[in-house]
Amino acid sequence: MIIFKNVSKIYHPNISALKEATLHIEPGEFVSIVGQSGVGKTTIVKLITAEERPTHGTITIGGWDITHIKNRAKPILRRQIGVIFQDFKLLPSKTVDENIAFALQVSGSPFTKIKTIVPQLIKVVGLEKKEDRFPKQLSGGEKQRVAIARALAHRPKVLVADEPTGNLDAINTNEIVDLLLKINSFGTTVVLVTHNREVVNNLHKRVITLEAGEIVSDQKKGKYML
Amino acid sequence: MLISFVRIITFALQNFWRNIWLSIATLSIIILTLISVSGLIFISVLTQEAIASAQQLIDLTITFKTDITADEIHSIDQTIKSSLPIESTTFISKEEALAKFKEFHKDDPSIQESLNALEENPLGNALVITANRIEDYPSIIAYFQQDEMQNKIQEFNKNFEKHELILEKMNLLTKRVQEIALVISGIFIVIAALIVFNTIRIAIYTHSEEISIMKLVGATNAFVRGPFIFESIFYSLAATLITLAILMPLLSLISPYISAFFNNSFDLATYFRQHALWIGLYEFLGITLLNLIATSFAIGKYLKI
Ligand SMILES: Nc1ncnc2c1ncn2[C@@H]1O[C@H](COP(=O)(O)OP(=O)(O)OP(=O)(O)O)[C@@H](O)[C@H]1O
Ligand SMILES: [Mg+2]
Repeated sequence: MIIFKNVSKIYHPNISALKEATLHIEPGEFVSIVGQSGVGKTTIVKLITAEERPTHGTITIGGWDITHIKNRAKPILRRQIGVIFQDFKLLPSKTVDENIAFALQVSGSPFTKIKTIVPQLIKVVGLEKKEDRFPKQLSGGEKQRVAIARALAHRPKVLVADEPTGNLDAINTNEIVDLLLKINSFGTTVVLVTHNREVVNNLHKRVITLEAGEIVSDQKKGKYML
Repeated sequence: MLISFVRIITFALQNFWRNIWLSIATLSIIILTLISVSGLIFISVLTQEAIASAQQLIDLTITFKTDITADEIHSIDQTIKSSLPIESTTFISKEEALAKFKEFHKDDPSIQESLNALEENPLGNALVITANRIEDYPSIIAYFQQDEMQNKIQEFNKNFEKHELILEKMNLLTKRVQEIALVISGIFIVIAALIVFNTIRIAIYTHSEEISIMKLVGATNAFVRGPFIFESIFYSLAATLITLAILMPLLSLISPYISAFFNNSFDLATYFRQHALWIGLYEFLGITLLNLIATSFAIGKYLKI
């Protein structure tokens, strides 16, 4: 589903965030990417969504080589990937409802479909009665849940979650992880970026460990090793 | 397609209301610009009106010798009207001229007396000529200075000779005034355009984060741009209508003072009422074009993501 071949990302002559990374993620897999702050985890996310272009190497998503993707094609790629951004990236002048709906509106989903899906998602992430709030009226954890709901709205084939539990307590974290597992069980490929040791150790799924932009380990049933 | 269009319009209106202060700020800059441009239009209209009304003060009276008959003068009239740059002519018969002369000097017994002593009317028939433009008089005068004409003429009127110098000066002055007005208008419009351009850019800059988020969630450039484009057209329309609504009563208020200056021959408020549709339309088209260019320019940067 996601193939990185010798991918490097050099932001600046002396900032190389990713060095010759090679990884294969199969369809339907659940993969955790772990590593200390600044090792290049979010960079991988940005490369998957074509927010950044690789400096070297090739990236293929679902058989589509996106290494030199045209600007015009980016929306098509992004509509097939759900991303929970580390910094949420909610639209400040849209309500919870509208933020979630936006992921459907961009692809021209009909009003009726949006009317049924959005309340379901609100329920899934537990934000009932807060539909009409603006992001600035929400707590960090609530914002995170809006971001999760939006990432799931268009039923993506790949879900990339960049620290989706960073602002949540243990109970909420487990709920979210269970949600991700459930989505994965329906066939969605899930890439989870986290530094939460407990989460990773309880998953018993594949773990990719990064260190200074390099993949230092890739274990089938991995543990948090740092 | 239609669904996206409906959404784009909804987003645009939401954007307008939810950032109402930014919207008001942007709108007022555009309104101020339009009012200033309208002011410029009025000043140019008034200048032209002033020039035209000054030109109307000038005419050329040609008094023919007493033996030239009205019929002869009519045929001259026909000829010059078809061959010279003449706006209008007025024929004054010698009887009318005498009556006027008597009326004018009715308090002067010596003139009355000497007039009564004359058996024949000493005055000739006359033709008052108004040229199309000030600079056309010399060619008309030249025509009457030909020998063949000169023989028939008693006198050119004093009015013209007296004013000839003033006329030349005024001619020069109006040209200067028009040139200066053009240059000032040009500079002013460039400044106004720059202000509007940058206002729109700042307004869009405040949305730069949102624009990149929309792109990351899978929106196409058109879907992101749409609401901003629609909003800028909406700004233009609202600004034009508000400008017209402000100018209407404002002009009615100051118009009497301007009319007094023009001896009540020109009313700015009436002029505006008659031309409001066109002024509004041109201002709307101009400001829309400017807004669209500014919007596309400003937004392009943030769409690259
Ligand atoms: N746009 C950028 N321009 C320059 N350098 C960047 C840019 N984005 C990231 N970097 C650098 O690249 C490196 C990797 O960043 P990245 O965001 O991938 O880290 P991360 O593993 O996600 O960290 P964290 O756990 O703190 O989120 C960092 O050293 C960062 O400073
Ligand atoms: Mg990160």
